Amino acid sequence: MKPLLGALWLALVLGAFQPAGAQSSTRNITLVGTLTTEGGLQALHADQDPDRPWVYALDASGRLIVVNLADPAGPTLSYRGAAGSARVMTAFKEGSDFFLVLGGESLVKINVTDPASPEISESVEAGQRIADLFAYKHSSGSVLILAAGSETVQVFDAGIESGPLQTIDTPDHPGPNVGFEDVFAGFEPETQQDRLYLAGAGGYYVYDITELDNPKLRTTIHSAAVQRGRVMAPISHGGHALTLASYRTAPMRIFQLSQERVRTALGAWTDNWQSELVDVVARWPFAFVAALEHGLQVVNVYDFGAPYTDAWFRTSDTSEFTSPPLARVPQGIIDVDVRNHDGLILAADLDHGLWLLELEAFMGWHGHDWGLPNMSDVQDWDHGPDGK
Amino acid sequence: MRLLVTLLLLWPTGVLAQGLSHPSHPPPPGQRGSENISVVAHLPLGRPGSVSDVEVEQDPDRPYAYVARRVHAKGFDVIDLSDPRRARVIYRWRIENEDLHQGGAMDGRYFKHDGRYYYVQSVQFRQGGPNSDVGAIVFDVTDLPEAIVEVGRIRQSDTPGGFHNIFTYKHSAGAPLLFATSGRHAKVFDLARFLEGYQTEMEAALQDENHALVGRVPVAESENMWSRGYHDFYIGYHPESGQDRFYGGGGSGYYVYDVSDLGSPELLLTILNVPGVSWGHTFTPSPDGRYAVGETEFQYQPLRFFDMKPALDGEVDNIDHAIGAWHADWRSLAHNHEVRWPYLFVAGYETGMSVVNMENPANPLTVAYYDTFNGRHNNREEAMARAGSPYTWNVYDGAWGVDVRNHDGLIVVSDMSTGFWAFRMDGFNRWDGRDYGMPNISSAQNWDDGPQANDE
Repeated sequence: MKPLLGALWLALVLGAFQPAGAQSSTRNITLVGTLTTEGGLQALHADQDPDRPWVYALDASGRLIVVNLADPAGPTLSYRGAAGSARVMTAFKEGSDFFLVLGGESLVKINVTDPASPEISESVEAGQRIADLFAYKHSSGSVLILAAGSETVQVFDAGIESGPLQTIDTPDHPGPNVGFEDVFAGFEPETQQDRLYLAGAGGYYVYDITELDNPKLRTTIHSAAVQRGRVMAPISHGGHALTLASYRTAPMRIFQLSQERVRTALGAWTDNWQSELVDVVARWPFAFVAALEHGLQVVNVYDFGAPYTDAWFRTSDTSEFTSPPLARVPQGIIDVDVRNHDGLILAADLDHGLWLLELEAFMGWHGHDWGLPNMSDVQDWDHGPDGK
Repeated sequence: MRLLVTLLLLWPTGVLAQGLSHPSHPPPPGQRGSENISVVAHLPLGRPGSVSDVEVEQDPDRPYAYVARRVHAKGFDVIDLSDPRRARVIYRWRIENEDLHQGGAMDGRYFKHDGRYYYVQSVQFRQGGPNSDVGAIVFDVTDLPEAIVEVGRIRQSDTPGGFHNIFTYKHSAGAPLLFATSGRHAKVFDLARFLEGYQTEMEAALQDENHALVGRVPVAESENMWSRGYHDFYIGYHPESGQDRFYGGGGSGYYVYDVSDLGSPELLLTILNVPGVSWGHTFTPSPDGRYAVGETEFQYQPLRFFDMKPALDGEVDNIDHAIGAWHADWRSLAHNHEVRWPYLFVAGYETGMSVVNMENPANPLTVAYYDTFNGRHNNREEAMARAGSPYTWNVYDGAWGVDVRNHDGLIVVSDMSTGFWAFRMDGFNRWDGRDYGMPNISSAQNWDDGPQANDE
């Protein structure tokens, strides 16, 4: 009887409250590899250089983790920081060196040219809560570090210790001023403009930052029921954007950016209206969405008015949940990235760690293959933006 | 063995209950409604887009429902439900010089005073035509089915454009009241005083249009407000405190006032800064006043369920989150609703009528539905061609209003395009809050004895 009781006890302790190994997927998603990290991951950033098989990540406490993906089926931990408090990160290349910038209460620039032994090279107090970071190769040739914060967007050059070159305040908007949540920049060949895409208080904003000392607000999206934009990811032609809002039940809304003021979404998508969608990466015609307990979702946005789910990978069985949707503690997929040169999909899991996935027939992404500018969050650090 | 039993008792139980799922749209053949819903009556009333709200009388001896008409027909239709399966329109009232009026009738509510029955029809006529200062028209409907008589018109020339929504309420002090959206307030009219005014020999035009105005409920100020007025409200008696409470949607969310003293409304709580809610539309409490259902009139927005207890207990001033949410179809949105605890009856525009069990407000469940809408969901081109309005998302079509007759559980729905519907739900043959351990408080008033009598 005792062995039976022991087994039952073990089952209760280990299995009852967290159904481990509950991952499932559509047929067209393949699990390539996985790495369990203590406490899970809260953010990740894939190195896009084909010769650098690394992914940088932040664990639950904000420590830097570097994972070697030389063999994606067997990822290995290359580095784990001793301490940290970062929440967000970005990466860039300057000359022949590779850097990360981590954001939390401060901004920390780390040289990761040798990813096994990262070295802090600069550090500066942010002066505000940093919600997102984005490194951008401006058409002028400069590397810019864009920091979206609780009050302003700060624009640094690669030497962050010299302070911001420019700050952008929240434009007039309905509702309380809660600052910014997300920042993205991209070059638009048609207009030869560098564009800044912001999500935050009141919704979403697009600026022309070609002249960095004179940013011009081009488009304002104040959509009803979005008091706080969470993510804004433009499609590579710059004419449309995928957006997320900062609350559970909000679908991904797709807006056309052709007017100065926009209210109404052209289309919308959700896998489940009770989901909380927390991150999206655009690689038209696909959007890769992090949906917490509803996993990673791949959405086909070929028709912006009628997006549909193309694939998914889940790490939880939501049918076994006991807590109502609005009372759930965040768990599952929190962040996603896509490696352009081979199409590897990387997902950060709050509970488990790192997931590496392949989508059938998606073996890489280059905008030209789809008749579009090659604009994504991936920068060409050596040559500057496509079309310039 | 005792340990084994203990362990088994500790085993996590009760995954979340699941409700019915609305079928995809268009519904498969024969699956327009759930099996527990029966269609009692359906009366198409005219051109698509010409129907607005619905009201059913609660007196068992008065089998009448009223459907407001707008745009193509400006007035209201009276429906005789003496034999619900043979429901028929027995009267069509239309504003004089109909073609000159721009807008139409919106919300309708009845009341009883001194043994007579009255129907109040709110109207919204724009300033390009006549009667833009009229907010509501009062009719004596006591003599239905033979006759109805217009008693008078409630005008507010300082806030033209009419009343979008109204609510008739038997106040604990005894007066029959009309609450009306008007300007930056919910204006409160004493309907007894209004009727007395119209019984004088003074010309209506010479009477002070504010002679029955006895109160104004403000919208509490907050930062960067979405709007300044109310869209809709509900007034209910709160037996535990002995207060008459006003539950308003508008401004930047939802507001609860104590309106026991109409001259001095007291703000009890706000529900503001709720993610996804920049504006409140319809707001209805549970009979005990603890929970409330809030609608915000934007596409993709679910109905949200709020627990107001922390604010009512004084722990917080503002509720900033919902505890539950419900959708019939996330591409659409719900509209008006009626609470008959534990059920919530929803007029869900393109999704038709739904019944939701909100006994656990954190996990509301669909328990019945019937799709009254014929068109495709979220099809802007079709909606534009049908209703001719570019208003925001063109998903405003389908079931507009819902009401429930307490004495027999009849459910009535007005659909903007398909007209009047009456339903029955299996096992729901009447509603009295006391049957469910709740105060007998709903939108149905006790016109003879007042709200206090409902809890005896």
